Amino acid sequence: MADRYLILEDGSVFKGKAFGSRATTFGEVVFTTVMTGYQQVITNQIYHNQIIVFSEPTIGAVGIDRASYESVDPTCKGVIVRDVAAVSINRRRRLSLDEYLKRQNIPGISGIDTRALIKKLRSTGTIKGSIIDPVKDLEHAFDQLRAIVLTNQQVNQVSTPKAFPNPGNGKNVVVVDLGLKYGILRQLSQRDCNVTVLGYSATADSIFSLDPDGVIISTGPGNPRDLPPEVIEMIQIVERNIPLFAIGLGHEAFAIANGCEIMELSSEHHGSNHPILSVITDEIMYASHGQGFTVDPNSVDRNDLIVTHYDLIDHSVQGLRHRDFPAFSVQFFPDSSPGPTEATELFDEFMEMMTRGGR
Amino acid sequence: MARSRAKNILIIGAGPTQIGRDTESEAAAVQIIKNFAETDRNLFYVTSDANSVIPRLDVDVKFIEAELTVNSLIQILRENEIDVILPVAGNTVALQLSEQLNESGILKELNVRTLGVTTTTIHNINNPELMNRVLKHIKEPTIPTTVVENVTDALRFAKRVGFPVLIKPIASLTKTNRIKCDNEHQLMEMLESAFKVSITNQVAVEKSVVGYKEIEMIVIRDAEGSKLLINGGENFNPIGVHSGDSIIFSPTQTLTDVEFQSLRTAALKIAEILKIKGVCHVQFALDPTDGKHFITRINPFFDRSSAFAARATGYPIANVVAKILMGQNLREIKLSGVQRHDSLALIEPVMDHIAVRFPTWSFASFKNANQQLNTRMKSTGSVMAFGRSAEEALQKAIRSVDSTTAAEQAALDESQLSEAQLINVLIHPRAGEVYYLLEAIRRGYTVDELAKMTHIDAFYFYKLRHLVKLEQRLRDNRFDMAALQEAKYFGFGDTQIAHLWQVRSDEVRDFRIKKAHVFATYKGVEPTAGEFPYLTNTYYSTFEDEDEAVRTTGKKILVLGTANSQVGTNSAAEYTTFQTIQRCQKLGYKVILINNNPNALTLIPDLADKIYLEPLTVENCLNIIHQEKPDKIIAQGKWEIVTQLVLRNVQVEQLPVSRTTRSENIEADYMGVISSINGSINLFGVVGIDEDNMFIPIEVSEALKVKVDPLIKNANQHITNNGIYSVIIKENMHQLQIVSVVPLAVQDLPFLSFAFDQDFAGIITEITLNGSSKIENHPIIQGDYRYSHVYPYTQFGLKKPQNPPFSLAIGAEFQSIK
Repeated sequence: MADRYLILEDGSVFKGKAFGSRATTFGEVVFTTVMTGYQQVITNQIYHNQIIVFSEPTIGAVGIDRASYESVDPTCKGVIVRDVAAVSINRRRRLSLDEYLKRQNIPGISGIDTRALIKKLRSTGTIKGSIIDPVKDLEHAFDQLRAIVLTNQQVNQVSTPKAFPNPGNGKNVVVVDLGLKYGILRQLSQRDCNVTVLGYSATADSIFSLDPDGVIISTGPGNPRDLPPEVIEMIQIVERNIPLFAIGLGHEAFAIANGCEIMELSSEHHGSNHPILSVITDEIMYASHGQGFTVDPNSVDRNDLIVTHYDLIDHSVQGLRHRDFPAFSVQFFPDSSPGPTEATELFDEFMEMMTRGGR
Repeated sequence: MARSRAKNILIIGAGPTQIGRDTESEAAAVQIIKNFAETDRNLFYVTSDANSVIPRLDVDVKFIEAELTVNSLIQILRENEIDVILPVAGNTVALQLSEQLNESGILKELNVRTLGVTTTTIHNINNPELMNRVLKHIKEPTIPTTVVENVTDALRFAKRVGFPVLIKPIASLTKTNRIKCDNEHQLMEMLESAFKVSITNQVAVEKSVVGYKEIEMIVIRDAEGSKLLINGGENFNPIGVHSGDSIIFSPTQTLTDVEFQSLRTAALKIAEILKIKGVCHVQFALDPTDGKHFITRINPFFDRSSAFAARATGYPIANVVAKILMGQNLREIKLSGVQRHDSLALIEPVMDHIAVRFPTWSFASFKNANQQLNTRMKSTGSVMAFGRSAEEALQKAIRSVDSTTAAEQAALDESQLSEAQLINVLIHPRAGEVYYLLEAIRRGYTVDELAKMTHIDAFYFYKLRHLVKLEQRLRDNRFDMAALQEAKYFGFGDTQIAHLWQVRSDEVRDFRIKKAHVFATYKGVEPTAGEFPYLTNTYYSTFEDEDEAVRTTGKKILVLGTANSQVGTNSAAEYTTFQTIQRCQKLGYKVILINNNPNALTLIPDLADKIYLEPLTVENCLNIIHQEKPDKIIAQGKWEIVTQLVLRNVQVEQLPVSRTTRSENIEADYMGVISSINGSINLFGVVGIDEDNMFIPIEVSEALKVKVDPLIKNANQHITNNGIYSVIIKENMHQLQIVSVVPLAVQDLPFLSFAFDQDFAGIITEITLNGSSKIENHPIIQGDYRYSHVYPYTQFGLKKPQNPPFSLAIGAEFQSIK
């Protein structure tokens, strides 16, 4: 395996070995503590323009599985890990992670002291990094890294340009794609929903014209404040009329649409290890998180919104529900791909809401 | 009706250590006791384990030595007005006793309740059919099983659930085992004879899960139903080999997220339906072809799996569970290590290292035992090892097994083996299987072939193949810096490399440090994988960039731990180390411990000041000594390592305890226990030795005293160093004479400490460190008991000989001599 370097904006250099593509890559370096489901993580569009560090020391053992894509065209910029395993072949023969990343032109770097890297990231916060070939002139590489400006038009880049269906015989659901994660579609399929996925620029009128029983605003990458104002306006109209369920970036947009402020987390949080308190049932549950932003709890107008979920570790707002409209949202990923399964019941709640109709 | 608060709590212990039961139950009990001691409850602990450390804890607990039977427990319940029994720190023994107590009606009569696990759950756990009903109720799959009276029904069932199936005649005339049938033909053939031996003409047919992956999940639940997963572990061997005899990896290595989450969800559901308050270990069989699972075992108590989970993740399971048992909920319990945010115990542990538990054997001492691995556990101990890759963790585990180079040799050189022998092991796994698998790879077996022959996941063979490649690279490149660096990164020890380079290990070490500049670095073990700043005192070594271990300040001592439990010294050695640590701390030392037995008492949090979870090898000791610069190093046993360290000019204080015990095979009648300090002799007491060579503490009568005293004074001429000694005495024609004077044997130390109410291990430690120790005599503890050794013959399928040597004992037990 060829040598590769990971360099960070703060001047640090980590030496490792190449896997996946040999391209040079730039992105924000974020770490995740999920221990299973690397394929779901890597193919999640929220990692657009990001390089993902796995704290789990070994990934790759189960290869790439046809049922575990969160998107067909992953948009993350790289994968960093201590060790990449060959595919276990007792089960169905699968594509290896290495081969998959080559095909997707995503570089990986292994042999990294990821624990040291993660400890650094938790204090620096999210910083830019680059995976490069070994070079003598590192100064030049750092100059290039510092000069890179990552786009803030991320949703535009990952959202579907054309509407597409995911047919079923049950409830009629419109999913607005801000960087859709297929786990949401799988949950709706399991409930036999007839789904139409629309791009992020969908207007309230175009949604209404499909006569949906409910609308889901999907997860997606980037800063919610960079979302086009039309998305926020669309939510403000839709939430008054049709049951609405917003997830991840969708949740942040829903919060903005209802007057909340968004704050940046000091360090992005990716993992499923934090307990989430469901305020209404007073129960603890776990789900995958993937967030760099959070709703400012002081900005929540309690006349309009109820905070339904809290992260008990960092006290961040994890769920909102509108007092007057049939609309709710969660910051975490309730679709369990990857991650604990207990939050999938929120989709049942959404189904019930659609059955009850508008109000 | 509100229950009145428990006042008198009885913790039921597990009895002596034996195969399948190391000191993990008592380690949990110690932590529970320490937590409860801060409340106003009265604690009682009952066990028959003569090596129990509980009598010597500095906290308020009444230790009751008794046989673990229903009748003796009923007496204890009555005498002590017990109102709560705690059955979760005594393994299956305590659970079964609680079931029997409940059935006897005594719990109702005395209004005694159970804590941690309800009597209904205990009843269900003890009755597989009831348990299956509970599992069906929560839609969890159980292994399909049926009883048939004719061949047609059997065939129909087998076709429905799929071959292979296991059959067993019901109400058999002869002793029968379950027979595996791979196809219709075999089934018909086997059924014929099975029906013949069944009095009722019935045969039980069960779907076979042999060859499935074996996975364990450890969860915690509190009284209000909050629950979390602590850890998942994956057995290297598929179902068919007892999980206590399999290598185990944590986290799981070859599960998809969907598979993992389905097992996590199932384990949490089970903890919920069983209303567990505390820890629950659920064992699964996972079909590698379709990811479907069956539940094979539910342990709602502390066991070796939860002990390993606690060490592997750094999550203090027993301390958290103790607080749950005291009535707190997970939302109120803090993880003290987390340095910011709300440090809730509800954080699900994540790992950034790989932990391996590795079985250790005693077949060298039991040559006639069948070494084939099957569903009966045969390993007598275990070690664990940590690394940043599966290769590294496995290599370290292999090196942990024995302090001598024997295991390393075995790992590297199986060339004596014939092909037929090798194939036989591949198909019928036996103790030390991994060495044979490595050899098979050296001989050119492919990953696919091996995965097919062994049903072990190919993942592991890729890892083993990588190790063989690294081995070859080393062989081909003597004193090559890059090869060395890579080998160290993947866990090779200096001695392993020396063997491949055919040089002394010191030459490798010199080259590594002075030329290649490759040094061990230490990483903290903590449950957040670096997400939060975490104060941990536990470290393991690897060969990466960052070193987290900070040299301990102040007066410090390095204690070489007991490592894996072995026959002979067994849990008595762990007892001694436990006391040594406590005494060192009383003498003002900070204790740095090296140990790697996942079940060890000494690895409980809040005992040692710093822990290195490392194999006890010369290399690791030297690295840690270099890292910590301890003022003193103390060892008990571990002669091979100590000798090697001394050769390298490291000064090690060796505790003067004997490992080959006292009067073995010598006919003797009494044993006096004395201290000899600067020529002054003190007699602690005398024990009688009965016909089974067991001790009975005796009240020293005037008549005996008159005879013994002059003898004891004479003992001095046999003694050159300060210490505690056994004076073996024989009675001949009413004359007493000294047979021998030997340092106190480690096996006898716990029992004699109990009988004479002395901290002998502490005294010996203090003498070793300071030259002397203050001695006070206490009255001997009255009781009609002796202690006897526990042997593993039954588990090995061997007949116990008359007077087996103590060096083969695996535990020690109080015995009533009423």
